[in-house]
Amino acid sequence: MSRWDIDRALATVANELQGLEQIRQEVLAERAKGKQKLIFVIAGALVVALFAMAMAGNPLGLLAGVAVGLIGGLIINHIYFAKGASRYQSMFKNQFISKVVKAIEPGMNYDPHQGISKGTFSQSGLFSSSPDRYSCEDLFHGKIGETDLMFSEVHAEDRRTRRNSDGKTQTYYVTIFKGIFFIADFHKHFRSTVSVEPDLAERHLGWIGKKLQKLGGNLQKLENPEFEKMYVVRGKDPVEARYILTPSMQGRLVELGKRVGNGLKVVFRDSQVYLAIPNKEDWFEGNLHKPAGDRNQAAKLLSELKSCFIIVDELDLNTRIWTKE
Amino acid sequence: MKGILIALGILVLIVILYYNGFISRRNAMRNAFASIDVQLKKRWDLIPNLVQTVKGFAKHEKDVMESVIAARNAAAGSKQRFDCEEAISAETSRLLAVAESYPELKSNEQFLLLQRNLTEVESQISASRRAYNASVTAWNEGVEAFPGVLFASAFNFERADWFEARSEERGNVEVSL
Repeated sequence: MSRWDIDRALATVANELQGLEQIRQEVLAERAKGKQKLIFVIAGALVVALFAMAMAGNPLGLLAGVAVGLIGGLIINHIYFAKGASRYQSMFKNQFISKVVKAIEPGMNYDPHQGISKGTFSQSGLFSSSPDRYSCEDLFHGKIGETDLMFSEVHAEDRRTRRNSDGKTQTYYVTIFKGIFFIADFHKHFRSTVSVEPDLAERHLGWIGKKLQKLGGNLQKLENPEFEKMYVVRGKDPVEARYILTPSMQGRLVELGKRVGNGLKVVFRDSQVYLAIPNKEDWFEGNLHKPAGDRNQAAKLLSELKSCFIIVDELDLNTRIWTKE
Repeated sequence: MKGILIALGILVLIVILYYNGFISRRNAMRNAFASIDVQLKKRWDLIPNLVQTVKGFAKHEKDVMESVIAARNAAAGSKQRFDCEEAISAETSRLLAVAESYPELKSNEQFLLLQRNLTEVESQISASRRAYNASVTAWNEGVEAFPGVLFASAFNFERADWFEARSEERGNVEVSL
């Protein structure tokens, strides 16, 4: 039976499933209660609004009703909805995901409330600016074979300002990266930094884009045409860039790029490889509306884990025939 | 008159830019060539240790060891330095293949370390050659493409040769079963 088998994963957490399902039922019952309470709050808010309007003699009394409705709604949401969902999510992650991860890769650990730090994210150099707003969760860390690695979900945003039609300054946030941020020990020693980024210029502007690439400096042209079409490589040391990006590694990055979709960014620095894999979805979550032992949910989780764990094999990071052990 | 001077100025500027472009490409090519030499020297330094280690376990493989040393010595003073380095590659591969018949040698720490170092140097040599080929491509594009070809012939810049695998290295490996 493959370690990625759904039945095997569900058997691993057989002891936890009953407890998880019980919690899920409790949370759903709480939510049902919350819905009833919400109806009372809305009715109460309407009464307050009508009473205030009658007392004040103008529609401003409506505001009092809205205020009561909002405050009541927020309290109910916190007590009956958010708190319960967070409780189930936390238990699902700590009991279900943690155990499944250990069963698949005994050398890996899972910490749902931690993530790749903002400092590490910024120091990678994959993104030009340090994010103004940063959040992370679902940290996986440990060893697969000979390779130390860690990855987590990351959402990094930049703060921008603009003037609206009234001439007032508005602040808003733009996502610079959302997805999986992956760091692994590379199997070779190297000193310089080599970046591999999507070749947007060549993809969109063709021949002119190819010429424009040179303006960025330290451009390295490699042998694999498919790789060259997909990525642009920059590094100060041409020999080291090729030492890292062997023809085989170029092929592997092409395949990885095809699998994870456009937008994959890679940087090799400090003898490590950093990957930023864009992903709009929120991974590694339990679904409150599905039974804890639901096969589809387990299959989705396994597919998400596999998608990250197999990067070690896809980049052949466990081959240790060079001087780095 | 003023127009002619401006046109001449622009022409001189273009010539300077093209000339400097050629010089920078040529320097990149020479630098890449020198980096191959550095890696070959590293391998050259590794060979005596490797032979010494193998000798301790495989005394009967005298001819293989002698061939490696001969190839190394030939490379030292040869004008066809890079051809001799190809011979070193072939002989060291033979030497490493010898280890397969000696389990004690295969598990010897010193041998394993040297084997890793040799693999490392071979990877570096390969990377250096590829970097050199990339610089040769950039140079040849300048020399052969228009309008660079006009300047190249004026300054006597000629196309350079790539490093290519020898025909016997390109062929399929024959395995007798």
